[in-house]
Amino acid sequence: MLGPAFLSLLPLGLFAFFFQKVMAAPAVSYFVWEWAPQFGLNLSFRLDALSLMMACLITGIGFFIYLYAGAYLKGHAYLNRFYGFLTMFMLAMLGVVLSDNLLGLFVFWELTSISSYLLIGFNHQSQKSRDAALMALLTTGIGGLAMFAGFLILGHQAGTFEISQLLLMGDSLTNATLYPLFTVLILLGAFTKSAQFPFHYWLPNAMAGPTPVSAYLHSATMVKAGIFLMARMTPILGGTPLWNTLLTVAGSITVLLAAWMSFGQKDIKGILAYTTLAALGSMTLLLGLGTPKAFEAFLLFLFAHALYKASFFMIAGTVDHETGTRDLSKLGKLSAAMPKSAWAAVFAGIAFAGFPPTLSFISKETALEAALHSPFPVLSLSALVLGSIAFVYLTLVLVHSVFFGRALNVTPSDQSVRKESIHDGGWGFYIGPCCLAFLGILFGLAPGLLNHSLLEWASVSLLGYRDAYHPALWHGFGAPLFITIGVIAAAFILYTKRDSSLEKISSISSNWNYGVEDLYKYKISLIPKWSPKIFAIFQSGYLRKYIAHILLFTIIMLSWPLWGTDVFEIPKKFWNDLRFEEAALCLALVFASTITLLSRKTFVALASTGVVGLGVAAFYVLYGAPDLAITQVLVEALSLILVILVLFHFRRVSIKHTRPFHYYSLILSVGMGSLFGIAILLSLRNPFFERISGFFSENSLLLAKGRNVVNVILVDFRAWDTMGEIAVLALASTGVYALIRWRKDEADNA
Amino acid sequence: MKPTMLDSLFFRSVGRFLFPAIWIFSTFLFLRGHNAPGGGFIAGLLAAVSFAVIALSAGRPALIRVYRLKSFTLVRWGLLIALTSGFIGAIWSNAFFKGVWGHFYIPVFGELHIGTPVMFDLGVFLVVLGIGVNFILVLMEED
Repeated sequence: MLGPAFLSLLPLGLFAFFFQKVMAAPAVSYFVWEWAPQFGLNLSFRLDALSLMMACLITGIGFFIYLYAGAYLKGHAYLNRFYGFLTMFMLAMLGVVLSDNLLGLFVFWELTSISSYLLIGFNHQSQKSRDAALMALLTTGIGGLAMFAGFLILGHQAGTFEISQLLLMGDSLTNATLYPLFTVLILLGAFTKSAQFPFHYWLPNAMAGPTPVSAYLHSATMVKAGIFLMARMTPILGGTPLWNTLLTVAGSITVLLAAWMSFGQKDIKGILAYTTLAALGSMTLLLGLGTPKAFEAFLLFLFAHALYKASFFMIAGTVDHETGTRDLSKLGKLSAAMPKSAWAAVFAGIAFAGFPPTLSFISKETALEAALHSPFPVLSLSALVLGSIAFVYLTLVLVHSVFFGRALNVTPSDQSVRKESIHDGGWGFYIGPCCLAFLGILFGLAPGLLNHSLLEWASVSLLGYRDAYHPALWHGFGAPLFITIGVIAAAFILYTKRDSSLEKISSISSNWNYGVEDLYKYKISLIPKWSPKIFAIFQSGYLRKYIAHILLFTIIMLSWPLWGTDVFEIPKKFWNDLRFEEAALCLALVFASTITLLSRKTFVALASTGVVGLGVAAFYVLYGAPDLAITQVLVEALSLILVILVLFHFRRVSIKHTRPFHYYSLILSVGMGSLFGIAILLSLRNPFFERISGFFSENSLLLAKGRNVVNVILVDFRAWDTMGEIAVLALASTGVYALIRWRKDEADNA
Repeated sequence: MKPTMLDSLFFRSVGRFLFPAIWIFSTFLFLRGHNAPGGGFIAGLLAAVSFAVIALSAGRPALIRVYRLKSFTLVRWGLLIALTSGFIGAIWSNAFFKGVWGHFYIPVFGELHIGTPVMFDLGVFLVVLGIGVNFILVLMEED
């Protein structure tokens, strides 16, 4: 327990940092590091109310999840790996919410997708986990790419990728002709990430991950990334009919669908997954309504939902951990064996159902009121009401029937779980759920705590001005209160009759995927079906053929722009400037190459190729490029050694070329050679940009403190290029290593 | 064919003396790289050649004895060091790979300028050396 407790200091420390920034309101802090400013890509961070709110949730809930995971996965062989992934996820998520640069946001966004993939597939022995992880990655990945395209178009239109500057652009973006295009693309990213209809299918499947992951990623944080993005974009792109309609409709459908499908779930994590979907749908819906009241409800709900959903997931995980099952029909009467979890479940359940005196009660009342006075009253109200009924009903199912109702019904086949051994577990199991449930009630009783520090301030991020919020438990006898009473009554009636009438609903809705998931599976099944047919054309399995393809393509691409130019016109200057030693060197090179071509013995050919290389090095010396000459000589020496080793290694492998391939190779060689000759002749005609080399030689000593311009370019001015080159070298060497080893392993097995 | 492919007495005797000599020259090229012809890439190639000399004169087992490291250790460390030098620039000078220089005075030797480009060059050196030795090791494996 010590390790996880120690690790959890990281989220706790980060939380303290963000909390101190919240206390410093309303000062917005910025941190900017240039990353690749020429592309508009910066690591710039903006700590305003909205991002701080998310950051506090991420680190605060993260702290409890770290503790919980330590208890839940105690003794797991890959616990360290788990914490590695979890930390990577947490930091990526913080990057998403804090980033002030759209491109930086995209990078972090993709990082959350990747870490989520690793976490869902953490139990990698199970095919189900791997499929679910891949489904989540593909769905959110495709959405992420669409979002990236949207960001690029938006950034091009606005001339900046900085969110803080986009916020100042006013109506010029929403009036742009490309507005519908980039808005829809960006929303695609947000919808896939937050599992809005029609991309909702990946979230319930993602429950294949370990429960701490579900609690953290798929309820409290990652799925909120899409919601956060929509909230972030609201003042920039929102307020238009397109934006409001898309968000309201998608959100409402998601709520209705998820509420309907949650009735049929038998798995407690499945229920939680669908209610999360419904909650995400409500948030999208509230953002889509676009009124100040709706934004207030949104902010309240964002906070309330994260608190109770994380604690509920952790309780569900504990139940699963202790009883070995998540099947509702088997669970019951756990309150005696697990009193602490039962208390946590009761308190989290009060919040889940939206009963007073919790924060979620306030948020639901506000949401209902916002829906009543919105442009879409019927759709939004029916979605919220049905969602609320489902929430109350499912709370009764989760809390009453699991912890109090029927007797526990564990059959002997369920992993030999004995009823006597079921207990609360260590403090790591219940501290998180208890604390979070307690916070939900505390904020409900004293909403001012949250309101004055964060919520009103966050309204600036959505509206552009500070709205006055008055969240309170008692709102008077208004329509929302009566709706709530009706909702609770309906849910209780449903719960008492659940065994008879609901069985029918369950049987229908649990088998009803609405086609989208099937469509996904169909598309995925096409890949292994078609790719062998397509790739068989290119991928013969022979390296020499791949190289030949690459060369052929290069020749075509290079000769394309040369088509029609008079390539053989050699400038007079060329002949006049020709010196004796140059001509001699050229003749020597031609002679050596001819020997290479004509020799029948491999070693003679190798040696004469070496001569060609050394001749090129001599050219470098002639033209005063000692660095290049040294490199050329060394590369020549090393590659000669390596080629000899290759020949030695493969001495028993005989390669038989077909005759056509011989001619093909000849054509390619002649083509490549003449193309490069022509390219050099052409470059004589159009001299290089003088100012580039001028810049380097002037600034080499001044800026980079080096006199060797070549080296300074390599390690300083163009360090990025060099970094890429050594990375490619390293990759290529792994490839070579694997190829040779693979042959060896195959030979060993044969 | 025997593991020592070039079974020449001359080469075998000279090989062991060549190795340190090449390393001294490689270090020299590495250190002067910023102001005169040389640098991490060239020094790395040369160091790889020094191991090739060992391999060719005394055989693969001798190379393993001298080299000692696992296959990708140097490559990994090289990439890490090179990237780290970039991050130092990002943190100190506000741009990735921007050079950060420090100036020290060392009593007998005089003034020393050292900066992240030197570190980056060291990364390049290690990657090039690691890849070279990797190739030699893998290709000389006996089946």
